[in-house]
Formats: sequence, C-alpha cells, structure tokens
Amino acid sequence: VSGLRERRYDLHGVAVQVECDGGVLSESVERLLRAFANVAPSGNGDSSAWRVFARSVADAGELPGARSAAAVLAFEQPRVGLDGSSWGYAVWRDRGRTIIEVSDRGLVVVEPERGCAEVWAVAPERWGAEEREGLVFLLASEVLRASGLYPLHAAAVEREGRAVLILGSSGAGKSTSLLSLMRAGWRCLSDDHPLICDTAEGPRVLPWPARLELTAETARLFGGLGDVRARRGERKLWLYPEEYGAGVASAAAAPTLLLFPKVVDWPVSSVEAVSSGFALEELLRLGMVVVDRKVAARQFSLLARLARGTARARVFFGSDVERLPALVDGLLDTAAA
Amino acid sequence: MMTGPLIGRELRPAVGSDAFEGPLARPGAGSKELRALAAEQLAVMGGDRGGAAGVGTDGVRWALSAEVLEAPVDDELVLLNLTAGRYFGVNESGSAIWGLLRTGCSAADAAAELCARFDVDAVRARADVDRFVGRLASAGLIRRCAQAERPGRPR
Repeated sequence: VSGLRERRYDLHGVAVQVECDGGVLSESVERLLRAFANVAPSGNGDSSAWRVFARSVADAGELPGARSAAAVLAFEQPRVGLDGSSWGYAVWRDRGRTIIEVSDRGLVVVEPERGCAEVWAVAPERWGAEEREGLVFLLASEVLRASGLYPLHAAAVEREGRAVLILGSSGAGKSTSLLSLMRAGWRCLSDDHPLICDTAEGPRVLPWPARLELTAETARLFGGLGDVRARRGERKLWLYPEEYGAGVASAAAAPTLLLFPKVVDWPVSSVEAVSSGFALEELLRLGMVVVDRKVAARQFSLLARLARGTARARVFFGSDVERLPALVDGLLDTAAA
Repeated sequence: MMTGPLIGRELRPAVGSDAFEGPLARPGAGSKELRALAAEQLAVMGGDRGGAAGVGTDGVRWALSAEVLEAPVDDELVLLNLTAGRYFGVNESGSAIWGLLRTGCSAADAAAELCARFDVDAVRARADVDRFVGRLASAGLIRRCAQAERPGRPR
C-alpha cells in the first residue's frame, strides 16, 4: 500500500516496529520516540519485536469493534478539560488484551502475548500535535509496562549516574526545575515521562527524552532560549533537550532524590522533608495504572521500594529559580550524610 | 491520656495525597486569611466525611481482600485496591489496626490491643476502630468473614 511508513525503535532493549499509514500520526510517533530511533537495517524483520500499527480514519464509525462481551472495565479517566486539550478515555481488560477507548477520538489495542499493538485515530489532522502525541503515548506506555518499564509523570535529570526525579502534575514547576538543573550541569533524562525499571541493584531511572515544552513565562526566566520554537496551532513553546545546558543522559541512573515541587508566590524557595508514605502516594498518583494485575503488582512493589529507598523533599518554588541547583546539592549532601 | 482522635490522619479515600491544590497561605498570614483558606479547602473536600457507624460489631471477623496490595512505608501503610485501581494512605494508628485485622482480630480485639499499646481511652479507641473498619469495608479493602472462612489475610 502506498503511503505506508515503517520505522524501528529500540526502547531500552524493547524492540518495536511501527507501521504508519503516513500523515500526521506518523509524525507524532517519530516525535515521541525520536530518542529510540534504530537506524540499523531491519532485514527481514525481527520476530521478537513488538509490531505496532498506527492508522487514521475519517470518522468514529470506521473504528474497528474491538471489545468482546468478556471485557472488564479497568478504569476510566474522565474528560477533565483542564487546559482545553484533555479527553476522557476508558481502559478495558479483554482476554489478555488491553483496550483503550478514547472518547470519540480513537482506539488503542495492546496484545502482549502476540507482541502486537494498534492505535486508531479519528481525523487526527484536526487535533493539536500534543493530543496526537498523547494518543500515541497511551499505546507506548502500555507496551512498555508490559515489558517491565514503567513510565512516570515526572521530569528527571542525571549527573554522575545519579538521578533526581521531579514529580508533579502539570503546572507544578517540573519544566522550570528541569531547565534550572540542566543549566547547572545536570543532564536531561526526561522532560515528562522517565521510565522506572527494576534491576538486581534496585530501581533505576531510564531516559525517555522527547521535547521540552515550556510556557512563555518559563522561557523568559532562562537565558539562551532565544531559538525556542512556537509553532502554529500549538499553545506551548518547545525545544529539544539536547539543545540546552548539559544535554541529555543516555544511560540508566540510580535514583537519589525525589523532589515534589510546588510553585508559590514567594521571593525565596523553601524545602521540607516528606515521609516515604507521602512519596509513595504521589508516585502512585503520577504513574500507577492498574490494568493487568500481575503487571500492577510488580509496579506497586517497585514504586514502594523507590519511595522507601530514596531521599525526598518538597520544594516550595519561589522566584529565585537560580537557587534550585544549590538546594538540590544541599539535599543530596544531607541524604549522603 | 490522648485528647485528640486516635486516628489523626485517617484512611483517605481521596486519590492523591496532595489533596490541597488551592493557594498556600503566605508566610505570616493572619488568622482571618487562614480561616478563609481553610473554609475554601473544606468546601472543595466536602462530602468525604466518611465513617460507617456500627459496622464493627462485637464478634464480627474481617477478611482482607485478596485484591489488596500493601506497602509499609516507615510507620505508615499504603494500600492499593486492584479491583478499583484506587490507593489509600493509612497513618500509624490505622496501620496498627490493619496489622491486627490481618491476624484475624475483630474490631473489639483490635481496640483492646490498641488500648494496651497506646495510652488511649477504651470508648474512644473502640469508636475510632469501628469508624476506621467501616471505611476499610466501604472501600472494598476488607469484608465480613463467612462463617467457615478464616479471618485475616488470605493465604
């Protein structure tokens, strides 16, 4: 079929072969997975690789009927519309498959046993780029979780093999914290969704850098961001993390500090220690998804160990953004003592 | 004698620990401002006053749901209900009660044990344990044992 595009990715050892029917969805896949692009020739294909199909259809009536009578609703994300771009979705568990129905926008089907996954989008050319990436992200997260790599809604940086995770919902100050630390020599592990995995040495943070999105206000706070792109139809400014500060990290890092930022209207930032219970609840809120029970049990145990074994602090982030790296160094010294 | 409730920071069914998403009080804020902020937050949280009275009647034994995962964190406990996909933070005293329920204690046994462990009034302890047990049950984390069933944690 003309217009089909095939790409291969290596997500920390998880081989994924993506076939797109061209157009905007293919751009979204490439943008989200750009850090994992595998340039090696694919030959006749790798039988152990996940096969992912991305398809666009003109209207919701053309979506395939994926769910059987045996399907069980795992959870529903209501249509919140906080920033005007969110849509609701329902996640179903259906005889070993995960089915995600995204309002009237699309459908994701993941079948771990067969190593294959599909994403269908209804008229994606009419959506914003962030929304398209959001749909592809739902699929990618499910594939990764099935492979023992758990995405976390956080920013993460690395220095000398040690990782700092900056955890919080949108607007909590993740991007500002990330830029501030990158300017001070920390490398970017991820702007929005690092991966947590289990190893013999304990939990590790794996890079998933995509694009650093920032508000005009955040961009103004930092120098050297003159070439930040603002594209037509997109609400946020963005840059590639390798274009700023110390660039991106390429290897797994040991988590050493969990930071929970909150932007406040104070001139001076302030720090307080938080309990591991608080940390675990936040980690669950920002990363835990219960679809497959065995997968969920592994993730829960991993996040509990991450919360227990890592220093943690809440940062009330004032307007003295340049002080964050010093605060982080102080917290790391305290943790090491 | 403890004057406050035994379970200070109770089982919180709110998803996410950081329920307070409103503005923080300024350092040095006056009492009027603090009261206004508190009233605003209570309005946001409204509805979750919880507590099913009279659930933990004497002799009733409880079985912990097989669908619940638990993670002790310091003196506290985080529970994840796999069926509902919801999680719960439990404070130190709640976690002590959970520990007693998991060994097969009734609410009355648990209250008596807490009175022995902590300096707490028996009536207050029983009322707090009943309320806590009621909330655990309504969150699907425990259920009444059938007659032939073994109470506590399923093996």
